[in-house]
Amino acid sequence: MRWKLLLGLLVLSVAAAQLPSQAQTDLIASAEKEGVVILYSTLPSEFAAIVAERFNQAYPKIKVEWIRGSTSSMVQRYLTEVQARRVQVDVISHNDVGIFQEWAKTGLLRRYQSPEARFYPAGLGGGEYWTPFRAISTVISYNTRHVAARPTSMKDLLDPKYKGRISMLDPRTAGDALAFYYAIRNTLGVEYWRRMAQQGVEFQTSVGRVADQVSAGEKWIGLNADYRVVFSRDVEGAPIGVVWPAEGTVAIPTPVAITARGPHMNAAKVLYDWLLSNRGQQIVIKDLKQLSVRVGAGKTAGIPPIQAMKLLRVDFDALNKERNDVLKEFSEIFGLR
Amino acid sequence: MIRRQAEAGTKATGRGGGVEVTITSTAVVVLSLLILLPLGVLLAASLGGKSLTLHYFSQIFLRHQIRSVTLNTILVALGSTSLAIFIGVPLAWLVHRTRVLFSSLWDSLIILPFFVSPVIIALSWLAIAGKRGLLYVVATRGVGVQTGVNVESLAGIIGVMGLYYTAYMYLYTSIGLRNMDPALEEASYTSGASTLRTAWRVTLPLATPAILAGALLVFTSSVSHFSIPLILGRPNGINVLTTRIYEMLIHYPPEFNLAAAISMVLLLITATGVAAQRLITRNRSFITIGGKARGEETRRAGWVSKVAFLICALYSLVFVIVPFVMLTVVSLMRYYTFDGPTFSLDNYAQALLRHPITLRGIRNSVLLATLGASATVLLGSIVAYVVVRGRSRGKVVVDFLSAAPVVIPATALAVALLATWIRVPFLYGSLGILLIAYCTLYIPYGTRAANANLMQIDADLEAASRTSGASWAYTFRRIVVPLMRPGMSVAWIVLFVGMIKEISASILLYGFGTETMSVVLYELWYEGSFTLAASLAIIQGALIAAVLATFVFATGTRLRSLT
Amino acid sequence: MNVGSPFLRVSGLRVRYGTAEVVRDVSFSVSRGEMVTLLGPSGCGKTTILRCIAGLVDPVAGLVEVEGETLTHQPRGISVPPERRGLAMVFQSYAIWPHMSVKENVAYGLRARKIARDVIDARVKDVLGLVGLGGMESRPATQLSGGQQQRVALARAIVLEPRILLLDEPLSNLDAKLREVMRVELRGLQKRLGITSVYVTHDQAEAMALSDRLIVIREGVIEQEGIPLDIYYNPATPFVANFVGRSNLISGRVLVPAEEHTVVETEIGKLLCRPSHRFEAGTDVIVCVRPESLRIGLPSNGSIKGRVAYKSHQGEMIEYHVEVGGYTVKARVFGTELLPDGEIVGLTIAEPGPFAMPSNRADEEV
Repeated sequence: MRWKLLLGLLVLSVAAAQLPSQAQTDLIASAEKEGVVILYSTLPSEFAAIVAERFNQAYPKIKVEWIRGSTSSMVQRYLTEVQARRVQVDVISHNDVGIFQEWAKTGLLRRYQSPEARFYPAGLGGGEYWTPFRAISTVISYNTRHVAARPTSMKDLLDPKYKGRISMLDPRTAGDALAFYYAIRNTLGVEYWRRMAQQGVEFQTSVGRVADQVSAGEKWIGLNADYRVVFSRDVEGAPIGVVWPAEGTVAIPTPVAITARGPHMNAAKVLYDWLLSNRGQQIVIKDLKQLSVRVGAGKTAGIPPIQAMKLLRVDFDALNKERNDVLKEFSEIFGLR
Repeated sequence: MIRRQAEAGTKATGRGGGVEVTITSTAVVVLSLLILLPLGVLLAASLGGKSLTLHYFSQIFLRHQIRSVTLNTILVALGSTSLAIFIGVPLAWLVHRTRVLFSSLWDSLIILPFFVSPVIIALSWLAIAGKRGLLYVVATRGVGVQTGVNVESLAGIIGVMGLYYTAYMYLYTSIGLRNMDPALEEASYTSGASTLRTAWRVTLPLATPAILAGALLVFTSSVSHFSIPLILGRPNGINVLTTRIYEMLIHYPPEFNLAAAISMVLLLITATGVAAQRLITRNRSFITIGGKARGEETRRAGWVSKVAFLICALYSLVFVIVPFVMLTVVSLMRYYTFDGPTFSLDNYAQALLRHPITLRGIRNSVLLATLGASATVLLGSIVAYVVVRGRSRGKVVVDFLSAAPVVIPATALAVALLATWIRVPFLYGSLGILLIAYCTLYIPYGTRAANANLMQIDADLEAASRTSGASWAYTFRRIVVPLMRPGMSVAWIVLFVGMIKEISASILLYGFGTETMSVVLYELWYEGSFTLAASLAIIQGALIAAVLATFVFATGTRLRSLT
Repeated sequence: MNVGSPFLRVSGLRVRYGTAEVVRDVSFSVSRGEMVTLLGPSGCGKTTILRCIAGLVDPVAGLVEVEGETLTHQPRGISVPPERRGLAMVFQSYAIWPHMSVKENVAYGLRARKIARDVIDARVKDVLGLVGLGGMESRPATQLSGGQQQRVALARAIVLEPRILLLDEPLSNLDAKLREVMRVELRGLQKRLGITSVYVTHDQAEAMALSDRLIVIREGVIEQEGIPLDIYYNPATPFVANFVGRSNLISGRVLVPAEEHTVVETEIGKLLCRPSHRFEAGTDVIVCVRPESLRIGLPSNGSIKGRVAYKSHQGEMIEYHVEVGGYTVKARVFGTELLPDGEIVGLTIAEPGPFAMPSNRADEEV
């Protein structure tokens, strides 16, 4: 008889572990009262729309309203709202890790211990302030029709045959491009970028545009975010190939965080938890086709897991401090000043 | 109603006394807050705020990119003005000096850009001759080679802006033509001179002051033009001063002081241009109204009118109808590609029914335009009353302040408003700051219209009311307002249409939830939803067309008077 | 002609537009029930004075008093707004509000005073009947002829039962025939209702026909004041003589000042002038001879000989220009027979006789 009791207790405890706690239920109830959560992110529109739709399916009483923009415009928008004392954003996500770290220190992010946070490697996150909700790496994309011998390294791109045919994300607007620029600069030296300037590189402010240019053959080489290139290749069927640079690449654990004074605090927490939950991460992998860094979440088609990539180390704090100088240097090298 | 001069004492009704003083002072305060305050803050910001320095102004000369952007701006302005003159002036002559068939049709078609947002025009031309436009696809597929025609270039910007401003030059020239004493040209014809000879040696020289004045206005307008370079240039790394300012403010870290300095420079250029234009129109009385009505005799018949017909038809087809058709086609595509496109009405369904941001944009724009037009009409009427009927010293100040915004480019005003009101809680990113911007930009038009209206009203009509026992306020309500109403309705419509289209200031001042139609249009296109953006553009055009058509048919006003 | 204290008193009125003084120290009074006309050429300031009384213009200095109540007193800063003065004005341009009907125009002032609807209706009906527009209540103002507009303007003013009625050249926009008709009607109406009125015009005939008293104004100053016939017969200055009625102004010198007649030697001979001023012998004077007082006949001993230089038939009378010496005398005679040019004739002067005025350098510019 005792084992029946034990079995019963086991079943009960397992069941209890699946039940939301009272705190959880209260949170959701308050969130539903708020009814809406505002998200600023750098996700391309189609992806942001998917996220909003799925969340709404999970929580029918809470609507996600979102806007998207480049890292720098999202940062600037939030900072202006803070200065104007009219913060409208609840959850914010962009690709500049250093800035998130700074915001954590200066009280612009809300401390929140999400129940999902323990599934994320400690080194990749910002503790109670932010967590990586996806990861992107910079890759070399090339048009398969125009490029016979595919390039494998950043050094290959200095080949004169690519002159006027290279496009990349603008470090002044995209956090991942800035980190990549910085890392390559530290590895291959400023001289590398000076020589790249001779190649006449064009800078774009959205991953979509770089992908389109290479797909259409307008440009032959595009330094772009991994998932967008894979999307062009596998979903849109574009003649585009992808290579991770031999020298190594930068993987950005794209932070997501709750703002300190946003108008819908509870709904923000619910969204935050959901994005980081297994359900949210499966959407990241299957619908957004991006890397997830949640432990046990699974692989993303077409993109190797982070552990398998050759990574260049980036000190985000240092980058944050030197940001203005780095950008100034970049602008001067490429004649954009 | 005969107006007399010396005896009458035309300012007689200024006997409002205390009321007049209150109203004048209020007008001065409101106008100063709207205009002087932001300008002052802008100036301070350009000089570095607390640390007075010329550093930011010097950057304009020292930074290579800003120098080249300034060069771009000047090239674009010169180029588009020249093109506008080159096309617009002869068009005016062809429509107004020949017996071309359907002349009023051509007139309406040519001035259409006045009622259309330049964003829409830029997008249309993008669909035709952009890097992924129809011509490109046709060329690479059919001919297999790149055509030289690429509208996403400096030349392209000049071309499209030139086409946009052709409507302005056409309008100014045609006004100059209309005001000419017909006897002068008739004398030329009766002396045996041919049509072309008369046009070249009599008509053109007489029209030159009007053309010059118009050209100056077009030049200053194109220097501060924002939307066409934003769409055709910026994504390709080609910038002008206004788009550069925009970039400086939306990215992190923002370069606010530098943006302010560049704004001040733009303001200076605009102010110079407007001053020069005023000088021209004041010294020469090129409005040589000969008293005699223009008869049909001064319109030439014969081969000239046939040629005119051809040219007008061609122009209207290629530069007005085709772009509109192209944009409609794009709005019906599922994905933006001319390489085997598929069509559906889904974009419209999305824009009007499902997409939260487009709906928000439409609602915000209509709300802002309605409120803004009404507020501007009200403020303009009060200002006009103070200036036309008032006798206090404050009226000179009011007159000047109400005309001042003419020289402020929309971008510069947005920068100024940002700097001024950013610390006032809840104003940034609200509809309020957009409303302030719109009213400020359009006050000059509002007061000009109200002035013209008020001067038509005999001051004795108000005097009769006062001597009949009505107070100043009663008089204003029951005499002045009803008599001004027809004219001010026209003004309201013009203001409404203008504010619906506005983008240059809106794009810097909008926040989450306060996007306007034009801003949504741009943002949608910018991140790749060209087809959805196109459908929104058509919707905006349809909205404006509906408003105009209703008004024109209901009141019998001519389309021309709404420019 | 002031009985007791005046109904309207204007004193020391001074009005400036910019740097120009358009009204300079004007003072006059109007008794109850009187119709006083301000007469003068364009720009003389008469309308400005009227507007001061109405309260539409503020003088730099001066006093306006009605029934002892101070309406304007500058520079003390007292200035009652027009709507509280209890006066009414008829404008030269009529100022009929185009967006209202006849009835709404006339009823306007009463409605502003929040008088009961039925009372308004009755009064409007009466007044329209008075001015001869009975039954036209619902006619839109834009469909009225000039004459009708004028009557509406009048009705609008009268219906308010004002203390004083101010009229600013109300007939000058009408054609000649209508003007004469309206003149009579207007005067009739004013007398019947007994409204104290101040009338402004530049038309001397009108002024003479309408007024109880006439005030001639020139360049912002009162030149002469009095009953019309008096001014006509005894103009104070050549300006008045020329403005009120036509005149021949002949310069001369006093020979014999006397109680009965003053003998003046003039360019056209010796003239016996009516006694007016006490002149000393040898004073330079200007003699006014009214053209209608001249008779043309055969040259004889007592007559002034001259030669017909010009004539013009004016319908009921003929105007002759007769050269006498170096001077051209204008004569207006009844009759239909035209004398040929060059004919030598003799002029005789009937009533009113010649009238001598002091000669003044400035007056010669008349």
